[in-house]
Amino acid sequence: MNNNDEKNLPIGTYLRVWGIVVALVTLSYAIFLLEIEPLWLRRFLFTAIALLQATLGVRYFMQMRWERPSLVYAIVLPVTLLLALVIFALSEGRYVLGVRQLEYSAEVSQQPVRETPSAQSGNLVELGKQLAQSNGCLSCHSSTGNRLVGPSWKGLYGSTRELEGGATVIADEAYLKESIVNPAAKIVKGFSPVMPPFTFLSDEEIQTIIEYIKSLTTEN
Amino acid sequence: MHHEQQERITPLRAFFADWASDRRAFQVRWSKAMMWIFILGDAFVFGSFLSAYASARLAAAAPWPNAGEVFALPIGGAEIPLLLVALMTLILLSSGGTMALAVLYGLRHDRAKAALFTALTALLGALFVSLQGVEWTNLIREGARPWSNPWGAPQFGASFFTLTGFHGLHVSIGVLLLAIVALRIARGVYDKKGDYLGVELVGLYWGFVDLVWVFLFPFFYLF
Repeated sequence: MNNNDEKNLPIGTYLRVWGIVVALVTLSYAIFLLEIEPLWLRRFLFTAIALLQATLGVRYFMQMRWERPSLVYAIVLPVTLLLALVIFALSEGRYVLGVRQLEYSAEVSQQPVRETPSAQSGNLVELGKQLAQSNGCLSCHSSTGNRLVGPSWKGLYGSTRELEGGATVIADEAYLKESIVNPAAKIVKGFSPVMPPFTFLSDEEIQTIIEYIKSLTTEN
Repeated sequence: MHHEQQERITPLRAFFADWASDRRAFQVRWSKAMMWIFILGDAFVFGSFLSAYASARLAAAAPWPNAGEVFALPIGGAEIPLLLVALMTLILLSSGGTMALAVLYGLRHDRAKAALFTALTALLGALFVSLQGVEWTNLIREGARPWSNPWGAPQFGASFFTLTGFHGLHVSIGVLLLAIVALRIARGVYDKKGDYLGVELVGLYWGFVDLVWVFLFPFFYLF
């Protein structure tokens, strides 16, 4: 501040601005709680309210309103460059998601050498675990209950699955086999249909992996 | 300084007047211009963090955790989504108001009130950081880590700890500065100097910390 006007600024102005800021943040929270649809409208409102709050904060609480234009432009104009950064970040994010989904399918179908289970290396469950590991299953399906790209295998066998569209199915052997060779047939609610079909596995290998999945239910 | 006629000056004319020939461009004290430039740099730090968060959230193959459920606070049996965060937001925004009042009373050389409101701002800031500590503790107890969490995309933890951690660090440093400035006001340091510029500077810093939260709250919690 470089003149004396603001020394006589009424405190009422500050209190009013503070009241508006509190009202705006309450409004944001209310929009969140009421879950106003559609989502893009909600997000647009959040952004608009945040920008309005920021403008008030900079103009009154940081006293930018009383500064000379040289300082205002020197500070405010560079900040608009952040918009370019945001646009780059958004397009990059979309691109990476696309690559992840593509690369993932390619990686799985291009695995030329699969470890064949040897009879000496332990029981069926252990073999199934090795197969699930070498075929990349475990990078999307956890054995611990953690949600990754796909549903966790822990407690999966024998449970009732709620599907996209509202139907339910019991996760028996037939369902598990279908979900391996034709994953798009039944999609569990809340997941994306990104898994490629594992048609190159032999019936024996599929059965072995299913034995491993079964063990994750009976263990505890 | 030249004798400027008190005619109506448009912003554009004022801009050229300020930059024309060898004059002082920023007609504020150098320390204030430097504080603004520091804030500009810090704005780019947080802008980059928020952009990185947007990118990571878009690129996540697993579904993003529902913040309303993750940050719910149980009150009398019902889970109220984001209640603690909403409370923290109100506290921080209120501290922005008390800071502005402290600066105003500083300009009026009202020592007692300036000290009181600066100290009040520091207290509200400390309360905010304490509640953030509660939030972090709850989340870490429930299994949130920077590399994984029980609710969905693993990028959630990294974004949460980076964004709120850096902001919390800024608030903590601000509380320290405010406490020092409040003490200096009370001791009459600024009265001896003849101006309350120190209060204005910490006021600018605190206004910026407030501003960052104005964007963090909707983009991280409400989106």
